[in-house]
Amino acid sequence: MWARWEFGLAALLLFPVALMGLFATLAPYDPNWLDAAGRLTPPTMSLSGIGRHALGTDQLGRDVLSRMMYGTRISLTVGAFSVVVAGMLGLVLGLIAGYRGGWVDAVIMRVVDVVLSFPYILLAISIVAVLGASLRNIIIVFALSSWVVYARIVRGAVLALRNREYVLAARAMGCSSSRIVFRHVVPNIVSPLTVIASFELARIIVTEATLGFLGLGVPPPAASWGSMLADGRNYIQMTWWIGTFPGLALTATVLGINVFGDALRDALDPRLRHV
Amino acid sequence: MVLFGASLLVFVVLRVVPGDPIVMMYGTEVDPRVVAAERQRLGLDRPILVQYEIFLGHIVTGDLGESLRYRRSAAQVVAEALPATVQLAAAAMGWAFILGVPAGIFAACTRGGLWDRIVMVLSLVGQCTPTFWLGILFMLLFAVILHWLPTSGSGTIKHLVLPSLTLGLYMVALLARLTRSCMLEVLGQDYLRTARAKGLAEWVVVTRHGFRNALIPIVTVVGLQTGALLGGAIVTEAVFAWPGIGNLAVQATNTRDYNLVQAVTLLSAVVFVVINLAIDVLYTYLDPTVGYS
Amino acid sequence: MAKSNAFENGISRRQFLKTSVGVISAAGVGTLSTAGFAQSPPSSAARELIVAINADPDTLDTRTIVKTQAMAMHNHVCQALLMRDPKGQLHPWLAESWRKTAPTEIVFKLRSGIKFTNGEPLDADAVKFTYDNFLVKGMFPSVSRQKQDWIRALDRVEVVDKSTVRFVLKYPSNAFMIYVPFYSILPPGVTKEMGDKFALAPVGTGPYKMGEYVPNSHLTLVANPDAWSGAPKTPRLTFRFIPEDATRMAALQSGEVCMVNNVTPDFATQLSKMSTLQVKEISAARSMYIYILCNKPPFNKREARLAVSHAINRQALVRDAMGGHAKIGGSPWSPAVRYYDPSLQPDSYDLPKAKQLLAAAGYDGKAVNFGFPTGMWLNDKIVAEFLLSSYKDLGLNVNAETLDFAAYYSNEQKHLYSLQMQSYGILPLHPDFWVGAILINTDNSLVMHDDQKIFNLIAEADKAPDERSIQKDYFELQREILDYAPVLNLYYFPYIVAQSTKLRGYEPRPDEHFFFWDATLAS
Repeated sequence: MWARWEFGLAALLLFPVALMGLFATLAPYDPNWLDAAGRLTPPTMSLSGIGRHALGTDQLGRDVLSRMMYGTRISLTVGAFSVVVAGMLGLVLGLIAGYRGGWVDAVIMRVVDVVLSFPYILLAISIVAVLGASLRNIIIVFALSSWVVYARIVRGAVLALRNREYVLAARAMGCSSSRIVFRHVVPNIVSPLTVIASFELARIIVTEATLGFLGLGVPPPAASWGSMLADGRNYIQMTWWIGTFPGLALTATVLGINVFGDALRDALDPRLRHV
Repeated sequence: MVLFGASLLVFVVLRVVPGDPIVMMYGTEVDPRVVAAERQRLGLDRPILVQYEIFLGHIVTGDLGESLRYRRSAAQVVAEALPATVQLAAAAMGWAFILGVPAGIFAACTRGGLWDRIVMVLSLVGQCTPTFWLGILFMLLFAVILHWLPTSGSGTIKHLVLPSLTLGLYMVALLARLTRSCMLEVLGQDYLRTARAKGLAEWVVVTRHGFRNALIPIVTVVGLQTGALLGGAIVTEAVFAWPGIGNLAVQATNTRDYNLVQAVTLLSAVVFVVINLAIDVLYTYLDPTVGYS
Repeated sequence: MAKSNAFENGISRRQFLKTSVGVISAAGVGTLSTAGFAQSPPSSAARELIVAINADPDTLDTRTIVKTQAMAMHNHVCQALLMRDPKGQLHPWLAESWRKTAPTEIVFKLRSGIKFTNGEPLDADAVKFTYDNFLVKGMFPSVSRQKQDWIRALDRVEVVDKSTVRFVLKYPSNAFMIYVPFYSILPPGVTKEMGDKFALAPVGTGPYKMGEYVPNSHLTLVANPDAWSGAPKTPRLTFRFIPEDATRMAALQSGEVCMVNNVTPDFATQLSKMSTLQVKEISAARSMYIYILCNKPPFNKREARLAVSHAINRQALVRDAMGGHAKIGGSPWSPAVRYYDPSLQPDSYDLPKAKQLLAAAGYDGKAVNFGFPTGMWLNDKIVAEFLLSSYKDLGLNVNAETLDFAAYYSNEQKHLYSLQMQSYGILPLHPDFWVGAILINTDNSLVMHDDQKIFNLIAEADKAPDERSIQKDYFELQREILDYAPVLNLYYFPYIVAQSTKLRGYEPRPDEHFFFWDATLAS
């Protein structure tokens, strides 16, 4: 199962990115240092060029390569934390909704509907404006807008499992609810959750770029790929390197994660195809 | 119920947000006396609860307040901009079905072949690129360099092509992959083998019997994605200067035009609810085994 | 070498005569057109001009207009009594002459025979109606408070006869006149009739009349053939609204529009490489300042304020942060604004002197609040970073805070910042617009200085009897501001536009207005 070619492709895409993130501190320049006189220098792109702006400088004179390396950390941090927080929130609320049923379920599902109908852009703006723009708050934005996906899936799974024989048997035997939940329900939803989580991770990393475009992303001088991409959009024609390199990193990462998620889903349980 | 929650949420959040819409309107060069007088006129100096009361009261009569920026009825401003976004979204959906579904079917039928691989890779890439980047690249390629299409604005079918393609590309990719996997699942089913055994042409087998059942999850996903479509529309409209409510929403939030933001949010909530209902109805039609829930 | 003779090369005398006559008359037509007389455009010119502007006007009603872009666009349709030229001087427009009959009275004589496009006459009643909308409380509830405030010196408008109006001021004020171009005259009948709809389709006396206005999309104007100043050179004019920079530039590059406003310096570099485009850069009436809160230590001491000024290397700032696209000078207002004194020099960059001054002011090392916007003005982020490193060199302990535009202004008004980085555009190209707003102390004043001399000079200049005294006062005011340093001027902004090389008859203006009635596009 693990020998599927998709895993190989994903590894190929993600490994260099992971390396970049891990060894970001070895970057040739301080990502925030402004070489004001050296604005918009083109990439030198030779081995000996590593010491001299190998991927060029951006409109404020900062080294693109260094920023890209640190950007890995930021983008992945935003993605990973958002997914984890949202996942846990969604898991808990979904479990409660599915298991308890009744008015608790109804209330939670209404909240889900409200959140889903609320354009995430507005949520982003509001939170950023009230709490200020920061890494932590961006994670909050993503967590708050994406927990609903997990909640729905979890609730669905719980509803389906609630009436299975082994659960009914367990109840008849007098097991407490939480025990039933943890021993029987949770293991069955780990698979779909993981698959969803991987896709969400990819989506969030891309969405972070969109928020950057609207000026709502991780605030300067932080070097998230998203804000680099957003900054670079005005420079595509002449000084294309500002946005293209982080764009490539972004695409490779997201592609890798998606391929991984696909392969994971196929490997774990083909029945999850519709998820 | 949903609408109430959404309206309350947006109302509170907007009022709590720091930033004075009056100053936003006038820019740097404004006298504080002017700001104070304007606030009074617009009722912004009353306590929040009072403002909310007034707001609720007005909604019932269909009055969503006066847009601070345009000084006209917010409801009217939104209504004027709505058709443009609907047009854009519909066209995007159109691309999704015209390109995505056939691609998915094709890939499923030629499973494992070169085309299958190509379609899958392309759709993966399509799902992984931020909309605004895609939009700008398209604009540069097709409009500035090739001069095939206009760069921005609205008016003719030609103007619709790039923005709707940009907005719809994510859905094209999604639909292609989804259709493929659903078709693959369905293609192996027994009833299809029966149909083939009966001697029906392959394409009839595929479309009539296979596709119909694959539609169900496709429709679900499409419904879920409509919310994302509005989010994508905001970006697409900004890039292509498309005069829809997405553009309006961004401008309104940047200028703290409360009433306009509220109007747009309420509208999107309404749209979401309506679409969900439509999906539910469509469900019962497509799959008679699903009871009305 | 033998004289080459055109006639020998097969050009007949007749042809030569015809050509010369043609050339001379073309030159004549050309000169006449530039003199402002309307001629029908040469037949090879385009019938429509399309330009891309970075903002939607929101409203075209002079009573509610706020943005400069809106003012410029609506002036193609609606006209005021006076017009402001690119140097800030006032010229007759709908009024053919004006004179001060008393210290608080100005009489305007209107041009006769002008009609609005709906047939109503342009007369004294229309002028009185227009200004009453601002003066009479409650007459038009949505009226712009800012525009009411601008003419606070005006008490009332009186009709003397059909073509004469008298403006009566509450107190003598020279500055009052600079606002007259902002108030376009409204036709009383149709304005009252249309109510709120007037903002979408105004009626005026200008060379163009309304075609259609689609918010967030475009504004189309069509020629007014009966205009008193003559029909415009190009019969159709469309403004497309494209806020996104990259998209706006793309429209120009693909040839869809023939002019774009508000070009950033980086884009200017890109666009100037295209041979079909022309980039024009002028000094705008906008400056970047550091406003200093003068009633809190350490900046209640003049030495401390001067210390900050001397710690900033303005040349390096312009070179590095603005890419060389800004100008510096000693005057607090840009050379595009009237009464600019070119002889003044900015404070020199002298770090040792700056440190000395700071010590002399008794700076105790406590942190001061520095507020700055990001993304609001051109390269403001990088300018702020430059300032921060200058503060560090000076040894000034700074608490830097950045908020988005809207939030920035709320806090500002509560005096949270000792130092604030802010830009100000002097729209009417007259210093009173800025000094009268910033250097006068009100509860919400950002500067709160106590230099009596500045107050006196501002008041004097407003009351001064003639041009020479006005200039004397403003020159002295500039020197005093430089010396007392309640506000530090960093640099003067550029204003950059880009256009097709085929576009004629348009030049950028420091007040960021754009007018196209004399513009033609060769095809």
